[in-house]
Amino acid sequence: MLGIQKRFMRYLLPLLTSLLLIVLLVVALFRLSAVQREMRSHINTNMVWVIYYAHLESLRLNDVIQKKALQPEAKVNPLLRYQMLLSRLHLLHDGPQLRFLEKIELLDELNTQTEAIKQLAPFLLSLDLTAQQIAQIQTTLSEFSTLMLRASSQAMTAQWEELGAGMDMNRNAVLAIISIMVGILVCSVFISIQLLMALRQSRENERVKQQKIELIKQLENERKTRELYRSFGAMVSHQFRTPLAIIDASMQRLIRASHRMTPAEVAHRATKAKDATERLTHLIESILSADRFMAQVDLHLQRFSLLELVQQLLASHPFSSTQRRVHFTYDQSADFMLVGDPVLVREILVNLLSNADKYSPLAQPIDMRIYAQDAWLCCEVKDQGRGIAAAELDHIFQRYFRSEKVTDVVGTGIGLYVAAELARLLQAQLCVDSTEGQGSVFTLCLGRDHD
Amino acid sequence: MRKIHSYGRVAKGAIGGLLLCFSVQLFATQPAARPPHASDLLSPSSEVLLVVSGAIAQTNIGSEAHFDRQMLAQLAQHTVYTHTLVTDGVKRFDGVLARDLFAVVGVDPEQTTLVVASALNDYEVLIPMADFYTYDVLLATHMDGEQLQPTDKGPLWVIYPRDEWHQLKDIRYDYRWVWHLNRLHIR
Repeated sequence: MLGIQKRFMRYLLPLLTSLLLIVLLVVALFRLSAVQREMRSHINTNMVWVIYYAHLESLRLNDVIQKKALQPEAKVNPLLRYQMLLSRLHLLHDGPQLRFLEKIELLDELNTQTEAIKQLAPFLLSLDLTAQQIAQIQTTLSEFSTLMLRASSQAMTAQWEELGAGMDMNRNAVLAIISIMVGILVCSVFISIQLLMALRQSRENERVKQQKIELIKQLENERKTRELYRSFGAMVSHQFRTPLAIIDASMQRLIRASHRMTPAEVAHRATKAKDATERLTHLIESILSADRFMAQVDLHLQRFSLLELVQQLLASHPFSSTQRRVHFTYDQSADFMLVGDPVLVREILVNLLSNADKYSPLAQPIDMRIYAQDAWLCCEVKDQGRGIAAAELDHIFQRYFRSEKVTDVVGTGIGLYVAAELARLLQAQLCVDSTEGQGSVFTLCLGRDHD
Repeated sequence: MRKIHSYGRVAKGAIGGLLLCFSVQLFATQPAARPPHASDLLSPSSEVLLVVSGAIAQTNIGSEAHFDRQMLAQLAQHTVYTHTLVTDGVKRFDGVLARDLFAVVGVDPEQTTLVVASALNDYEVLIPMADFYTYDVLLATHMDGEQLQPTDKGPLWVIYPRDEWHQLKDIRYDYRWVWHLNRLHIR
């Protein structure tokens, strides 16, 4: 029930309001166009003016007849005035004018009067009018004049009534349009409020989403930390257990059977324990020193030759055995100058070489190659050792991570982690490609120009 | 209604005769027509229907151009079908285009702006010269094939093509429909 109500408020109500708004706008448009049409079609023949002119022409004819009667020599033209009067009568008997006179019930009377005026034609054709003829003309015109006076007052009344009704209609139409406008305003305000609320809701949703992402991130961090501890624990348990077992065994043997041992044997046992202790110390030291190193590491950019750096590094022979052979190649035509931190680059390469040395047999040489590729200078370290299992490749650069297959080799799982961190600092790319049982290839690619 | 129609027919017949007498009387008192005034315009040989005066280049009597029915008939005839404000239905009007007449009397539309149109009933109105060059304004001599008489709206009626142009259905054009037209003064 609550869901339906919520959906109604969120979707149906704004939709209905928008629909209402459109309907109101369309209605307003129709009302306005109706008013506009009305304004155009309202213009009609001005009956007052038509009647006034008919009246005027009758007066003018009367005037001319009178002048002719008083001064037979006067230069007047009764015939023209008679024609003009007939023209006005003709006009009154035409279309819209006729209908109007019918409406105000004066048509019959007008017909009678028109007939009477028409009867005057023979008098006006003769140039000499008798007093009796003049009197008849004047009587006829006088009656017509009276009719026109009545007609004009009625025409005025009718037209004013019509005008008033038209104004009423327009006023009503305007009032209706104003009401519609108010409706439109209310709808618009409502829709605006709905929009604002929707905007706020969407912002709130966005905030909740961000919080969720943040939470997921925190969980991920926690998971990583847990993994780190697990890796650390595994590494410690593997690396520390062997020396501790050696120390323990040597010490127990010395406690139980030292009185039967030759001094040389005692010394041998003691030395074994001492070596194991040294290895432990060394392990702890390397873990701590890596942390110290990473805490202090600083970027000092300078221009240097990668070729020279690698040559110097190989000359220092940073391997466990003098037997270790390295096969170094490089493209002689390439330019190996770049901007970077040579100390950090050297540290990475020492780590890569040290790994290759540790996990490949002495009989197999390490291949080292440097080459230029587009804007990058790359250094490849390739061994033919035991390689890395595909499942472990993703974890190889994690701190304290050590492969299940290398528990026989002493290590802390820090070297590759440090190399990867330094590569990140140098904005370099460090990748690994490996096949288990065939060997690994580590490639460090450095940009020629540091940003 | 039947009565009205019979009136119309009778009046037209009677007044047609009246008109002839009237014109004889009117122009008998006028001085004899002078020879054409340095102009190609012919002189009227019968009753003058229209006088054009003012800024014109071609004249035939004094500084004016006088036209009789025959002279008007010699100009190109045009037809306009339109409603009018005072009649019912579409009417057919025949006559001459005002601008054709102006061309004959040498009116320069660039130099003139107004035409004062006067009628037998002393009605007078100003018409912008542009009207005659924007619309096909007719000086009609016939309505529905019948000659316009002074007892109706003749001899000439200014007709605008009201049905052809939306803007002509306007009260400001309605007063320019001069009937009984007998004089055009060009300004």
